Amino acid sequence: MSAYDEDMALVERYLAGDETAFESLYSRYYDKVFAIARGILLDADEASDAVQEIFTLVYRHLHRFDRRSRFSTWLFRVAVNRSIQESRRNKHRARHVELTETSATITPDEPDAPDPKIQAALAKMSPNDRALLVLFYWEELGLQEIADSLGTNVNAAKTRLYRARERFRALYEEAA
Amino acid sequence: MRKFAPELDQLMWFLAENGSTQAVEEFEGRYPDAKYELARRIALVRRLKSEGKKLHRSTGMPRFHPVEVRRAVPSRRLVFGVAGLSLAALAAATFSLVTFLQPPAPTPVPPAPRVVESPEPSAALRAKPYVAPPVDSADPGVARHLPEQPPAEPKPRYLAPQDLKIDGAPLLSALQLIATQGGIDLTVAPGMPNPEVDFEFERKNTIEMLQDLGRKYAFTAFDQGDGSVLIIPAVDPQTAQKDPAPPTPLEKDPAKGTRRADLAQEP
Repeated sequence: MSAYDEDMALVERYLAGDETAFESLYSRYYDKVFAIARGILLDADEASDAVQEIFTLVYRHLHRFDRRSRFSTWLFRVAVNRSIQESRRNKHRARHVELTETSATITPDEPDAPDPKIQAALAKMSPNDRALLVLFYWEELGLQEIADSLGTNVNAAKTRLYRARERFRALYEEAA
Repeated sequence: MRKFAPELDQLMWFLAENGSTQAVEEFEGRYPDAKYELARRIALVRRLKSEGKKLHRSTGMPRFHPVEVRRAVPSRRLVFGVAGLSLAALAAATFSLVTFLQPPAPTPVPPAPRVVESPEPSAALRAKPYVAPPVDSADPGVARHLPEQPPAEPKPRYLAPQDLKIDGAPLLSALQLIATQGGIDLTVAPGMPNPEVDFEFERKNTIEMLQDLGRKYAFTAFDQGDGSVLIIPAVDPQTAQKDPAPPTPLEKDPAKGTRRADLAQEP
């Protein structure tokens, strides 16, 4: 059974009243949704809260999923939109907290520590641009999936990705 | 930062993201100038991708518990758009209200026509003097637009009936005498004949005297309405036919002597 079929089966089970099916969906996609939220919000605590809100939305509105796309694509769309909204809400606070955390607690010697230059460059970008980079480089989605997740077409997604990548490069080299 | 052709730029990004070692070496052999730029992009993409993997690994999964979802904040563009529309609607409503409350603007009154006196009458004026069309006072449309009559003013001297008798005087001198007696300014156009005339008027005002003489001696007296009269040596043929010259004045024929003209019956 493919991942797509497994997802659809879990969705059907949950809609039929099986709560454990939702727990399974949550476990399968928690890391990916957290990475998206973390990449857009640039703050681990806010990302953790946002993930709970995202899955709460899915938990309450899964009956609206029309099954024309993958469950993962629908879920990523909810995650991106919710994270961008949260980022707008906490724009100034999020950046301040994240940069403080980065400078205070992270040292380059730690292997799993975030790269401060990459974090600084991402912090200067808009949430929409960050979402594109996260979906393409971190989640390694194709252009069609990115377009579906952002609610746009492939050509627009390609153009926006190209611009976001150029902006990131400029900011990264500036930080370097 | 060096600029590359768009095709080369896209190719470098593709190799940085997906290229195998062999493809990268082939590219570097073909485009040695872009070798350094490609290496920078490969390093950048690797760093960015590894950053995502770190985040995937570094998080622990809490248990799911439905939470209260906060209300989404509308985007700044939407907020500004709605605010702009609201302001525009408010401005339009205010303008409409102010326009509605203002009294209607007064109808502009056309300026009164100015009379320009000319010592040399134009050709058109000499050929055919303007005769105002008769006004039908019964027409309600005309009557509605008539200005309100001002209170009665004392009659000017030239409109008062007078008696005058001239025997054997030049026409121009006689006209000047009539004007002096009536208290008006007389302007005589060039080319006016000056025969010797005899006449006698009883109970006629200055304008009537001049008009009667005009019918007789082929000139037209234009009352300018401001106490001045313009004498032009021409007669409107239509007016002359409709209203033949009254034989009131006495005319002195040098060949036949003085003869008495019929007296005009004035109402």
